[in-house]
Amino acid sequence: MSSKDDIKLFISEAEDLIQKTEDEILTLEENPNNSKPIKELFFTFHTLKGLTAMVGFDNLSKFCHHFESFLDNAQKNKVSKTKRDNFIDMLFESLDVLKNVLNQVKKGDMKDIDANFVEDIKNSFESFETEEYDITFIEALNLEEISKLLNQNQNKSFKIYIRLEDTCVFKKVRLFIIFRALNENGKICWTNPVPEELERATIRNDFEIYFITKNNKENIFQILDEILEIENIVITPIKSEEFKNTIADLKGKWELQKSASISDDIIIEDYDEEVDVEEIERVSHITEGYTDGTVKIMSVKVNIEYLEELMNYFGELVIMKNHISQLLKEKEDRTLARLIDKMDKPFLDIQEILFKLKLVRVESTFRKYKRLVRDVANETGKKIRLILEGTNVEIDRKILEEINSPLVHLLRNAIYHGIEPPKERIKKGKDEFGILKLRTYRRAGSIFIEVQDDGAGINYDKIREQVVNKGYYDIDEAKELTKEDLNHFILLPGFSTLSDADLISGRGMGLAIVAERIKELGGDFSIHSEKDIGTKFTLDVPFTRAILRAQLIQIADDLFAIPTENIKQIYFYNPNQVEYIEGEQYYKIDSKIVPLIHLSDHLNMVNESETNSHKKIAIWCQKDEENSAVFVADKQLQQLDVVVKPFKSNFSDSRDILGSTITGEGIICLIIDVLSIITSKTNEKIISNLT
Amino acid sequence: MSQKQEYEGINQVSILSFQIGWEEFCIDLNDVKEIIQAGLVRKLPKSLDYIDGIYNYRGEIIHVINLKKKLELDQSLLYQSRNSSYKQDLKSTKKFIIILKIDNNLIGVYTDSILSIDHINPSEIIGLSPIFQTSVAIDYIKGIIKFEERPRILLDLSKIFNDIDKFRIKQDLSSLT
Amino acid sequence: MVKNEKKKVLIVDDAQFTRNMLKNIINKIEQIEVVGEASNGVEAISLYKKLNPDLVTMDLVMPEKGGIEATEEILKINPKAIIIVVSALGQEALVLEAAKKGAKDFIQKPFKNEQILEVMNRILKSGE
Repeated sequence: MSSKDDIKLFISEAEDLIQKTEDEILTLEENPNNSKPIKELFFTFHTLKGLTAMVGFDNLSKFCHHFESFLDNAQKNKVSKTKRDNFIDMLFESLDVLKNVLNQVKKGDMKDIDANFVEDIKNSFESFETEEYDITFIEALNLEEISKLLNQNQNKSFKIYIRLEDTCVFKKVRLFIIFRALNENGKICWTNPVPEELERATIRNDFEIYFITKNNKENIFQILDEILEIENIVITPIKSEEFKNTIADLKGKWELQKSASISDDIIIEDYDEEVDVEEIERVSHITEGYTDGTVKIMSVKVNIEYLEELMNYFGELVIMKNHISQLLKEKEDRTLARLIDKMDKPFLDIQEILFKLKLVRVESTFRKYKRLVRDVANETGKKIRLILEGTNVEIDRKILEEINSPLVHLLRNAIYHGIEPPKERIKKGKDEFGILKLRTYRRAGSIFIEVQDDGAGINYDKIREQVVNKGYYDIDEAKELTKEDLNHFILLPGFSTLSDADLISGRGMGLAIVAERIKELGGDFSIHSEKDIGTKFTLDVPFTRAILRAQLIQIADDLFAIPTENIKQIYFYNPNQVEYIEGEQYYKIDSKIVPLIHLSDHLNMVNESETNSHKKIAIWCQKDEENSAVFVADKQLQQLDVVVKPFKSNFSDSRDILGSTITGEGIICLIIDVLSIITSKTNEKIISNLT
Repeated sequence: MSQKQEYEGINQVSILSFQIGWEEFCIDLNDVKEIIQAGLVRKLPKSLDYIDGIYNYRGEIIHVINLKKKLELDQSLLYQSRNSSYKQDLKSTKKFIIILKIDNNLIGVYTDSILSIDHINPSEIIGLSPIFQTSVAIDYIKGIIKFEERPRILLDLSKIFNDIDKFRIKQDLSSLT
Repeated sequence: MVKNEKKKVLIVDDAQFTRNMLKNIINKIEQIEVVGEASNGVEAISLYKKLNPDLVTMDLVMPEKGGIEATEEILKINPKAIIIVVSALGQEALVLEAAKKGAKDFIQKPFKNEQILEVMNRILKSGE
């Protein structure tokens, strides 16, 4: 039995390898002529073989071994185009097996896979390999070439009917030998069934060949008679004109058929500038590993749990340090105070490094979506072009994990309900390939992620209907509602889930949950949709949480905080600066008029021990150039680096709470999400202007 | 004989009795994680009225419930409060917090005093009869346990806390207007 | 033509059993004679050079040198060499490979006696 550490290592290594495998399969799928992914897959399975054996998964190791040797073969014999899909599906299936085992291991279940299963895989590989070769032996001629040939002296045209023996097993080779023999003595112009189908050897036993040769009927017969496994041969001479017409006819029929069923449903594109560079780096790393004996290890793998622990411990340290400096202020010990102050710098440095440690490229998760999109596209018969943009943006790993399922949901939704079936798209004059774009970018302290499709868009009329049906507004009022208003409804839990799936193009299901999740993360979720142009969902999530600098304040008798990054300026509150416009309070700052929010009122905090009003402070917080507000608190306290934990309450409306922290003294401090308050204030204004 | 005793022993339920205001209640001790001396409970903005606030319980923030309000005892108590020190007891008599673990969530409940812990036979829990008059809404009551002095109400904690979802939806609806 | 010279066959197979079987069948045909047996590709090539047979039966999977390579090399020596692949089931890819390299035809193991006889007759008849 292997040790716990071994298993931990196994999990982390295997996870990476499996991810790598998936990527490579996808690369292969995109570009089947590229042998590099196969080579890499070969190495990956080789590593997996060793890794799984290490922890005692003998069967799984064998399983990997079969894949390894299969890939080795694939490297040597090019994988034919026709077999490519099967081949890739099989690889994907193998991945699922690996993932399953890995998930089991994570749950502590060290059960190996079934030996019989491995045997099955091995066998299917064998049958697979036998079919896996390049078999473009029939070169169909175009009509021009045929005419040319027919005009040549002595050339005669024939239709040859051949029936193979029922016992013929290696049909492909048999066909190869027949065609080779014929082509050595003339030219095959066309076949029925078409060459592609013959090559796939899914034919019944008989077929026709349209053949031009200088030989006569008897010669042809003799050539074919030498070949084994032929049961019947009928050779019919045809006049040139008829010959050409028949071929043209067959060709036309086939092309019609072909266009009706194009098998390629999805193309995946990755517009990330840095990917290629990284790819090259990775390859050179690999080759380095094989050529150079001494490799400098530039990175180490760390279990994410250790990182989390480290963060937590550091958080506690920050709290304790804050407590110490608090105590020192009372003691007035200057040397000690100075020393503690000096600690700020290394603390900040550590904090910064810790942040970086927790950051990962969104790519690490987003590249998994290629598979998802591929699968869902196949499921639904849609044709999708997935575009990933900005995959090099870095984000806190925890947050990335948490936005995963909302994103998956959005992507699935976009394919299921947003993007139209190819036929419908063509009717609308769109490209049959729907474009699904996942774009990531950073702005201020946030990461923006857009999921955009060019599908049918949200059916707002249906939402209006629903709004009326549910009794929120009457018909006339509903007509006045803007898209933005209606978007609010879409995000209401239970608003659309109760109705049929095609309401709002079926998007209603679960969007409320997505929005809720994003809000729990301290993020924002918005919708933009245009009929027949498409829909864009924007997720706006903080790129990290954990430690932030906060201005502590007192409201009523309780401790709150506002992130200093949101604060533009703090003033003493002067009631004379308050102005009333249409019943709303505003605060005059210089020549500006800024909405005023009394936090004690806004947060519904009853003041029991009546603080003196002259001590009150006015905190000017800014969301962006246009949107800001002044918040009135009862008392200004110190600024602190606080460890922010998400705050979720089932018993209160916590939308205005960004998170919580516990001070050195053990007091709970709630951090106010001033930006969210500003946003809802502006929305309120928009709505009230409407009515 | 010994067999019967054993059987009963296995099936015994431990019951915690406590007092809020004038009322005495029981809860299943299995739902209790700890009983602690009440420390500083801070207010929770925009919270439901039966929430006293939030409390730092070993680094974890838990909600503290005011059972009086939750069980809507106020009405009946208000009569008493006119000639008793009800208003004052809001502040001064909150001595303990019972930390409950319900569906993996920790929730605190204020109590004025802990009365006893008893091991009783399930058969001693009597189902509600309409004749029995209580100040607590019938929905929240699991049964009545007859103690020597007087009967006490056994609270159905999961029912008490399961109307959270309703609240959440209400909250989301209100966000519209 | 008048000369009633017997056709020469070289059997290449790593299994003694298969070789014996083939030999028994082939030797039943009066005009044909098995002149040599090779158990791998290397032997096959050197025996081919030495014996210059009219026909070679070629197993594909063998130690030392496989049938595909042997086929290729023999055809280099004599482009008109007639090589018939005798393959096991499930080796279609290999058989095709051999055919591409120039093998004339193929039969599958397990084969029936008549099949072998038919091959010999057809092919040797045409060689005239």
